[in-house]
Amino acid sequence: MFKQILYAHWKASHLVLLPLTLAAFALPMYSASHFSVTDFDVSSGFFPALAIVAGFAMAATAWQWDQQGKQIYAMSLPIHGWEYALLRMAAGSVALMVPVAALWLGSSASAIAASPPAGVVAYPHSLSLRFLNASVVAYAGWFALFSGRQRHQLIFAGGVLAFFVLSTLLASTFGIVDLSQKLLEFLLSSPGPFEVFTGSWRLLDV
Amino acid sequence: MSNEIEFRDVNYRTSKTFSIKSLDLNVPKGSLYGFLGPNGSGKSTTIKLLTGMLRPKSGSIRVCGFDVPGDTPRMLQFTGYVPERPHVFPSFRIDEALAFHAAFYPSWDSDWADDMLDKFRLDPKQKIAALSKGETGKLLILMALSQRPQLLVLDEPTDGLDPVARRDVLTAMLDYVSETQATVFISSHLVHELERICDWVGVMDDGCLVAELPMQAFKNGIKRLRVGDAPNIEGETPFVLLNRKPHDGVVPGETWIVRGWQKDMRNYFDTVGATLKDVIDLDLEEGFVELLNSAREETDRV
Repeated sequence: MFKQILYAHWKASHLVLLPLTLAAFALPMYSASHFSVTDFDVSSGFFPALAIVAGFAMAATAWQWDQQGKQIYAMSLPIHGWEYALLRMAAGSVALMVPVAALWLGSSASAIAASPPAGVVAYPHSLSLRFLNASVVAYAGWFALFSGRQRHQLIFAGGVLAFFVLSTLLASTFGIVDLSQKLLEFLLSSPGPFEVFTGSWRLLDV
Repeated sequence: MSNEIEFRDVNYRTSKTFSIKSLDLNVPKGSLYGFLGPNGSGKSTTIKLLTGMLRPKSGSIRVCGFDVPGDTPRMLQFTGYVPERPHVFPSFRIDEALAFHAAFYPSWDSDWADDMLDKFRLDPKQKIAALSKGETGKLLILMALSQRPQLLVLDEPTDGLDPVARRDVLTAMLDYVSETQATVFISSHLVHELERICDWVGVMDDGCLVAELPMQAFKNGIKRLRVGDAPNIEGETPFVLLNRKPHDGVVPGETWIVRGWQKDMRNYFDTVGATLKDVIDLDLEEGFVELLNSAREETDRV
């Protein structure tokens, strides 16, 4: 059963998986070639961005066909809805390992090829593990969002947008606490769930 | 006779203007049950309720001996379902769709599926999105039958198919039923199609089941009577008077549409001082239309 779900996921996602994998392989090389001890490393932001995009792509393709058929096929299969969702989630997670593996290969190759100045070390394994962690967090979030109906997705997106706009407006007009800012701080700092996307993401570091 | 599908006082609201109301449905085991009704009468909603896709507001549903929606996955192991619109993944090829589907059914008969592919002249390498309506209809029935189900639930399976594809789909279904004695629940608004194959009929209108009876009784029991000196009816009649139309200026006498007619009921007209001038057989479609008209008039009166 899982094999078939995995095959279905591969069939739905292979066209987006290919460029993601190439990008994940190339990004550490780009990072290593643009390394500077003193300057801000632009590529540091590319890693979490790629993790978010990879999570988004895998989650979207996991549900794409079911959404097109209004979930009728999934509901007509002789398994519980939660089982089907778990199988889908697991299949997407396995597919996600392809760009993660590519990033690990790319960073390992870059680490071997690079000749960093004294005091600078390459971190291919920890960078790959961090990328894996960030991709899975992003995938889980997007997966939960895409598993809902389109109407619910729009309501959620609208609600989030309205919250940010309103709290920013209220804060700037009446000088009260900006709740959206507080929420972002909570989400992006330890032990917030999205903390993994922040901080320094460099293959070569001191 | 036990029932493969049983609805007891099922209520479900789909919108402010439409709901399934106190639905009691009995589909006998081994029957070919035709589920008739005009578009929007609640046929597809009833099918979604019986396949566990919708949760009733109240009432109970048992299918293949399992409670629905509580035991839906186990019930679906024994149920082949063909939905109103194609539901399989469009980017799959036929062989991929079959392999995917087979993985969920331990009872899947791959030899039989291969035979049916040949019989239906379907190319296993063809992409589902590229199939014609007829080919899609054949593929869906093939998938449902290859599960070797004890119950087949077909939601307008031949709607929009050409006559050849329609015949192929119905023949495959009938061959399977004659071989396995499976129960079939088939919804359609194509009355003549069901007339030929079904032995039970249920008629839905506006979310209510207005009739449920053996096809033979439905076909033979609905008549158009020409009645001279038609009386005001007081008390009970031996038949169900569905409709009564006054003299139309062409044919003498009133026209009565009745259900449950039998020959010996002619005597009734003598007892009330009326003359029965003619008894006309109605085909299933006419009977179906008269039944719906009478149900609607009854609703309007209430």
